[in-house]
Order: sequence, then C-alpha cells, then structure tokens
Amino acid sequence: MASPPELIDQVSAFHADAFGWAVACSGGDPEAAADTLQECYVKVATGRAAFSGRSSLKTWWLAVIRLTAFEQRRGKQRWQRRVDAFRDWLALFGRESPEPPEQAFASPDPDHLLAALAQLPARQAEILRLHFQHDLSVSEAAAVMGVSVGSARQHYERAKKRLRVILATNAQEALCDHAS
Amino acid sequence: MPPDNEPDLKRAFAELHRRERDPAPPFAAMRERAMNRTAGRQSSAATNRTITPLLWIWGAPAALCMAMAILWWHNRPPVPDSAIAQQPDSSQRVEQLLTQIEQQFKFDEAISSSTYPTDALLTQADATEIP
Repeated sequence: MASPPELIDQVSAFHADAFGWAVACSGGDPEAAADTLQECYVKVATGRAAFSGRSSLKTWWLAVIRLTAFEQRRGKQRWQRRVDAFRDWLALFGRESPEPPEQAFASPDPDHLLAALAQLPARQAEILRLHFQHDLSVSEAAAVMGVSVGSARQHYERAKKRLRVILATNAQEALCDHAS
Repeated sequence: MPPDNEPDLKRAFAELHRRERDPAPPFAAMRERAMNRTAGRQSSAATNRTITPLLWIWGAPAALCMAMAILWWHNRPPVPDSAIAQQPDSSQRVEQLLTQIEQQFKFDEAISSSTYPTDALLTQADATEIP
C-alpha cells in the first residue's frame, strides 16, 4: 500500500478532473470546491483516506471527494438533502418521462446543460457527470455514488431521458422568448 | 431515441468539464498546505497524547473530590439555633480569658512569695554565727 505522500502524488494525475468533480459536488461553488479538495488531500496525508485497491484509483478518489463534499455540506443544507432524496425517490418510482421531442438532440451549450443538470435530482445529475465527464462506466459510477449497479443503471436511464426533456423545454422557452 | 444523440451530449459535457476544471488551484500549493496541516495535526495529537493521561490521573480524582466536597457541603447537618445562642460573644470571651490570665499571675506571685521550711534553717545559721 502506498504511503500518504506517495498516494497524494498518484492522485495528482487527476487533480484538474478532481477539482471539476468537486465543483459539481459543491453545488457549482469553486471556493467550496477548493476547500473540499484541500480537505481530501489532508485526509490522504493523515491516512484518514487510504486506497485499498478494491476499485480503480480514480473511482476511489472521486468517491472520497464526493463524501468530503457531502460532509462539508451536511448540517448546512440538511433540508435540501431531504428534498433531493425525495425527488430521487419520486424520479425512481414515479411516472415514466414522456419521449423527448426532436429539439432535445440539438447540441446544448454548457450553460444550458448546467441549467438542465440543476433541474435534475442530485443522483441523476451525478451519474450523468460521472459517465459523460469522467468517462466512468455505470458500475464504476455506482461505486463512487455508493449505490447498487442496478439502481445506478436506473438513475442513468431516467436521467438521460429527463435531461433531454428539460433541454428541449428550455430550448423551446428560449425560442419563444426570442420570438416575442 | 436517435442513436446519434450521445455524441452531442458528450460534447456538451466535455465542454462543461473543461470549463469547470480550468480554474483548478495549483496542485503543488494544495499539497504543501495539506502536508503542513498534517504536521500541525500530528503535533496537536502528540500533545493530546501527553495531556490526556495526565488529565485522567490528576483531573478525575480532583473532580471527584470536589464533587464529594460539594455534596458534603450541601448535605451537612444544620447547626442548632440553641448552640448558636449559647456561644458567648467574642468580646465576653476575651474578657474571660484576660480574667483567667490575671488570676493565673496572682497565683504565681503567691507561690513565689511563700516561705519554704528550709528558710528557718538559714535564719538559725545567721544567728549562731561566731563573731
């Protein structure tokens, strides 16, 4: 097993990616993300976060960042987490989303994508980011998120479908605003 | 669902990813801060390792004694009012002591001025002295 300084050097390969993930886990706040990432490095340096080799280093590191961001947000936004969990539950067991219209498949710009992700339940947004931004498979994303692969797959499918609906709706609204 | 939708989505996510990871603070500075904070935590942990046993060895018995003293103070038997009333006033007590001391002095003087049986012998010896 690598010593803490060695482990820090190993995860340095993912530093920029890790920061991007920390931003996503910190609600889009870069300062909070920097604090989160700093705390993660401290965890590694003190041995509180040790890599056991059960998953890939990147998967483990993203999970550490996710957990740390969660810890830092805990208490501040306890009610928000409950709302998110409820939205996740509704999304998982609720009605199927309607088939998205064709406009949804136009390539969205990052601002529209960010706005659409903000409208998704937290877990759905997480799994999309892990899959599309960090090139993780659904099972690796499930390991990062601490959920079963089946649940992750369900979140993923619903998230993709719902994201397209949201993007299409937002695009139509933008067109209407522009026309008026 | 069209099969070619994901590349667009992927492209959008890649753009978002690039935008989010660009302002990443430099790794070296974060590493150094982490190591410094680790050193700080280790020294405070060492201090805690020293102080904690001392606190248990000395602090806990002291706290126990204080608790017992407080308990005793609150539960001590009340002094009866009659006992308080019987206690002489301090000035009276001083007077009594002074009187006792004076009496003691008088008694000592009486002893020192008394004649002893052998004093007669001394007087006789003076009388029979040969000129």
